[in-house]
Amino acid sequence: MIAREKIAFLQRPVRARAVGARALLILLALVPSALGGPVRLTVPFTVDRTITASGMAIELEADELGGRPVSQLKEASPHPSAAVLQALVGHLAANQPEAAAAMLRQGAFQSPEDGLSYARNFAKAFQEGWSSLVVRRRYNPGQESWFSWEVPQGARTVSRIFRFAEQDGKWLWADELQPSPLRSVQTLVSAAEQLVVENQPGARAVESMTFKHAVAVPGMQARWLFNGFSASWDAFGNGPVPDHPVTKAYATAAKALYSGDFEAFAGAYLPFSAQRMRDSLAQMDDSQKASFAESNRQLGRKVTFVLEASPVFLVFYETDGRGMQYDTLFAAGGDVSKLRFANFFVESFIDEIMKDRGFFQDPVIRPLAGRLEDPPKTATLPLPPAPQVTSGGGSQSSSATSPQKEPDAGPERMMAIRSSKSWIPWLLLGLLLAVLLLRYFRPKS
Amino acid sequence: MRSPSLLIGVGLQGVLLRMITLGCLVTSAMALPSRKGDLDEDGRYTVRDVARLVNHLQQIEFLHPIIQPFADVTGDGLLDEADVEKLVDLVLDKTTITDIPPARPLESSPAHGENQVALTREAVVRFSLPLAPAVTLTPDDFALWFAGKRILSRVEISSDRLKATVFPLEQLPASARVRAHLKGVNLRDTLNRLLDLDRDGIAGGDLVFDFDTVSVTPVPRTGMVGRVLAAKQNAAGADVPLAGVIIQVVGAEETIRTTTAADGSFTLTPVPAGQFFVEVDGRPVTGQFPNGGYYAFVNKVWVAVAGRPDNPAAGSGVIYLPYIVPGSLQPMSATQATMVPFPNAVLTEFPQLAGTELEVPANSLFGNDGTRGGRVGIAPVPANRLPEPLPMGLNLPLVITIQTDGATNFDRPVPVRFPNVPDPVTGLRLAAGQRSALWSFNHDTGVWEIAGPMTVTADGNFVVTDPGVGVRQPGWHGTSPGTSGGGGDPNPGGGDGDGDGDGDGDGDGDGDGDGDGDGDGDGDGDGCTKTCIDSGTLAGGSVSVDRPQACKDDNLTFTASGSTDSGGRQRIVCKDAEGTTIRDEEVTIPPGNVTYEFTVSGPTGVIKTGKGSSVTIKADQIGSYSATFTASSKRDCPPGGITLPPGSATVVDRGSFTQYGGAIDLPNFAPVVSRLQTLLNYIPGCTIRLESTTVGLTQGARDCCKSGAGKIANGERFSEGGVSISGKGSFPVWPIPPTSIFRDLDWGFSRALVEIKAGVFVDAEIAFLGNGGYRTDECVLESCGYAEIGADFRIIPNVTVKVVACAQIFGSYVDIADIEVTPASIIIPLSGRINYNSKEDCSGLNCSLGLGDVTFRAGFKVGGVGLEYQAVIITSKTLTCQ
Repeated sequence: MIAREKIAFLQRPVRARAVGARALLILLALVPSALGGPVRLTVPFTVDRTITASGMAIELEADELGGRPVSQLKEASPHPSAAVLQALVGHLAANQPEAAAAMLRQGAFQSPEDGLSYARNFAKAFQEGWSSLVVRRRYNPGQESWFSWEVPQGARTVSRIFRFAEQDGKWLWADELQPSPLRSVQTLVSAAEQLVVENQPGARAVESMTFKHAVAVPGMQARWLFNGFSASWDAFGNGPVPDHPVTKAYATAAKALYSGDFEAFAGAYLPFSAQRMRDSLAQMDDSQKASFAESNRQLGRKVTFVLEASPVFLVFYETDGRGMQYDTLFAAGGDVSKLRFANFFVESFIDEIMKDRGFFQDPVIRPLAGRLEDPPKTATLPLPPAPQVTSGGGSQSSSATSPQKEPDAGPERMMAIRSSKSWIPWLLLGLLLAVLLLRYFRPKS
Repeated sequence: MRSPSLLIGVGLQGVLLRMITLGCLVTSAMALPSRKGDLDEDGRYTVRDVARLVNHLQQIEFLHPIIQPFADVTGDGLLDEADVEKLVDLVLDKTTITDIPPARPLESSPAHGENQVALTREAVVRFSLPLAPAVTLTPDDFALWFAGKRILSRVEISSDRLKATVFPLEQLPASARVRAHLKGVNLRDTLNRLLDLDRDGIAGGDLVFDFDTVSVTPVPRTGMVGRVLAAKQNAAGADVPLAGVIIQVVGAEETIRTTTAADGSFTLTPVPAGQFFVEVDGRPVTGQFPNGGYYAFVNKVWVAVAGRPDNPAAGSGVIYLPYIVPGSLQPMSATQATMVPFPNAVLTEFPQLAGTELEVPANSLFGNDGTRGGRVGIAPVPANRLPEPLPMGLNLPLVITIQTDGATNFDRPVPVRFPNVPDPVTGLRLAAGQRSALWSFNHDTGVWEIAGPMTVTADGNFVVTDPGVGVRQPGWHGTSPGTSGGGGDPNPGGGDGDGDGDGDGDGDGDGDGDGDGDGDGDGDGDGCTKTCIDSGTLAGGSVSVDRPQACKDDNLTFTASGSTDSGGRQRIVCKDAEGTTIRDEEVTIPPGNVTYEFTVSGPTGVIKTGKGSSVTIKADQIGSYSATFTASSKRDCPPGGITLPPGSATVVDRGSFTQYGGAIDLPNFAPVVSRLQTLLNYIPGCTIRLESTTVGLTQGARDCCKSGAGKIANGERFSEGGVSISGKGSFPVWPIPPTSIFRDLDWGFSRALVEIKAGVFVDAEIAFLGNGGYRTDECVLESCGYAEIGADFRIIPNVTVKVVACAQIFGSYVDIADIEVTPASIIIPLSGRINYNSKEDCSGLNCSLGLGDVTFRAGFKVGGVGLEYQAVIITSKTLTCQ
């Protein structure tokens, strides 16, 4: 209900929204403390080298800080880590990496020198932007306190997250670079915020999405929200293929692999991955290819779950003796008739999470996988328009989250990704709407 | 322990009179008291407090579970007349009380030291006071541990905040001692005090309890047999066999499983000995779960006698599964209570069941992973065709199964309403206002338990759960007015543990202690009086042992059988509400089921006691073993128990193998070597060829013990030789060698897309040593070839990596030259062994080869800051011969 009201609000004329946004900001500023509640962010996926918004979301508890300068942070957020962030940014802006590194949590880096290098690089990377830094939110992922912030860098705005944790009764800078689930989620949330900043064309608002599954993120105060269906179907077998565009596309490609028709298998990929696969296959002689096809046949390919994050689809499968794996498919333009495999040896932060058996596969996917239920008996999916993937095989091309912004992509955008259960913003929003209605629709006397 | 039931039944009358004289008022508002005894939270001790306590004890108006700890003014853990007396003294200012102590754990589930715990069991701690609203629990605070490793889990506090549960997100290890550890450092009760978790009377401390999980190790030549039938017979009255039902052992789902044949029959073998948990899944029979009709999915506890291949499943060998008609499952609301009745198709066939329904509170259904919501449905099941028979003495007129589409927990009791159907024995219905009890099958322990009291509605048509009482988990539930026995309900009601609030421990709430709720004291709840005329007798029976003479370390199984119950006679007198006799007759009591209790003694004294008609022990000492069984029968007018003549066995030492002469007879090692080769070639791309050479020869013999024939000298013999196996492998570890890998790297201050070239290639020689031979055993009349090969080695491949391209995303500019790349060494660990029979027995092929995680790692350093890239190339897996 609330989400629909919000969408309706966002569909009002731009001028009215702009007026509403300013008024809302004023109202928000009058609120003595930050507004807390769950926030949903679309999970970004890498599709061949392009980061794209998906139909999966992560929900975290967060305090909305409204893009405040760091100097106003302590007034906006009573949390003790806010003062630590303020001091840290002060050190970085003043190019005092030693002071900044001294705020690092013990053990965050392998050696004090590594920590100092980290702080020094940070101070240098955004030296032109520290004075313009604004803080968007404070996340409460559990034991830690995370602040998302933005700085201008050249023509772009860069969104980053600093982590803070309590150690011996004191809040400290908790960034780390060692692989860990928290580190992966930090990168994911940072990339999700970056997507919001860059306002990728065609990306769906998270409020417009409905989810069948909501599963707690292990060890965090957060939830994964997604759709999908379980399956119990051997893609190499002779059984009937579940009636779903994803499974049908998958079956076609799997049969090509099973039969050793590698050209047809490569053709099932997006152009960039397809060319990479052909290049790899060219390194193998016929006997090696035959051996590879045979080992695949022996291992089997039992599809147990299809994660629908349109336009991205992950097909989780198990083989005999090799645990759970997945393939990534992409529906270009949201058109399921154009479903293609992606990411042949192309990996990103999201794969760190999806491949993590203890953090994601066992607690999130496995309980849903392989149940005795059929996929929905629909021939088509109601997919929204999706961004096109950059195709072509140049290995030097850069990651291309679109820098293009919609006009008037200000505070409304912030609200568009917010899905708070707190009643205060909606009370304020209601008051604002009432004011606008009175202003625009008051009968003339 | 005193008898609260007497105090309630007599002493309260006087107290009640005093309350009436004082003109007490009944209040119904629930508030949290600030101190003990102040039950209406007005800061004073008044008659209103006394009235609330009395009303609770008289079951007129129940205190909320959160309030109940504040009513225990005597602090003895019981809610009874003594609390009323002391509260009256407080009102009259005759005494004082100490403040309520800090909250402490009342109980844990599993209990400390409990064994045979299911591998899917959650751990629960119940508290004496609610946790403070601000308290949250994470897996760091409440965790399950095994061998120093924390088991992946999630923690949930119940909505009444009186219970904390840790749900394992992975199966618990089998045959393991698991430790549950609840930290007290962040736990505060509703009065904002630290909990007294270690129960030393001082706030603070941790709660630690251990339990042992069930074994899922299959025992050779041990199996379960049975048939799965539809609970409902066909129109001709014949049983309907169910084909395609999946039966699997929990914890060994991939290896110990079977499917029923066209006639519904199945054999599940080998299975663990003793108690183990199984899942019987009828959903594949129709394949229409959850939207269409389907047969139920049930969890059960089965018991197998070791060495017996035809143990009858579920005790009788027959499992009935109810059919869940289409449309039974209804979505649960997150915002309001959802009423779940029988679907119309059921009511059309059984109109007498109309009005039966569950009232599922808003947002109360959840899965172990924390997911809220789902679908719930109910279906009736004939009480005589349940998946397993009801225990002796429990006669449920109606049983319902509560089915869901996945979630398995309710976070609050779910009220239920049953039709007031006649008692299956007397044919009489309960009168309006009469008491009954809700019975639920506890899937964690495998027993039926009382979940709380129920009452017949004023119109006499239904039996409904009392306030605060209800179904706590999906599964099997029923109502019975005439059954004695306490319950397992954890509500701290009357302090007696049964949750009915009367303190007498029988679970019915009427205070007479017989457990039936009708107040006539005879224990059956039907308003009738039964008098024994003839208790009958138990007679016959014997104890057998599978090996009268056994060798040390053999298993010995003692079995009792043949005792019979003659049945008895009793007189039943029933009166209506006005006292008019409506029934007076002598009836025959049919023979009850005979049950046994055993005591096994060995050379050093008693070594095992328990219940059951069969017991298996390992004879690990030389000397005499004997087992004594006593038989009893549980029914109305039960007969006296009898002790059966004991069974006995002699255990001798067979000694060790000694040199033995004779012809050398070696088996063919080729099949075992071939199996090892196949297992190794599970490594993607691996094409290792193995060759074997026989080396060294030995042979030996020792005594053995044959059942009925005693010790046979040199009856067990072997001839053995060694085998040397070697091979050479050369292969890329990646299934398709990538030309390059694109990887998004985020250093925090900079993010870049790098292209790296990586190679992981194995070029190694592999060698094994094994042995094998030929075995002959004249005692068990078997002979076979055997072979064993151990595999415990590591393959160290060659690893190369270099950055060939880099594209900046943002942050500090990074060029290829700025990135310092370090490849990490990779190890492919392999361990395990392959056995084809053994020197000890002819158990067939057993093999297990563990392949550890193989992870490709490389370090990328920019500006002195290192970032590690890792990719799992091969996930760990145990490969078996199954």
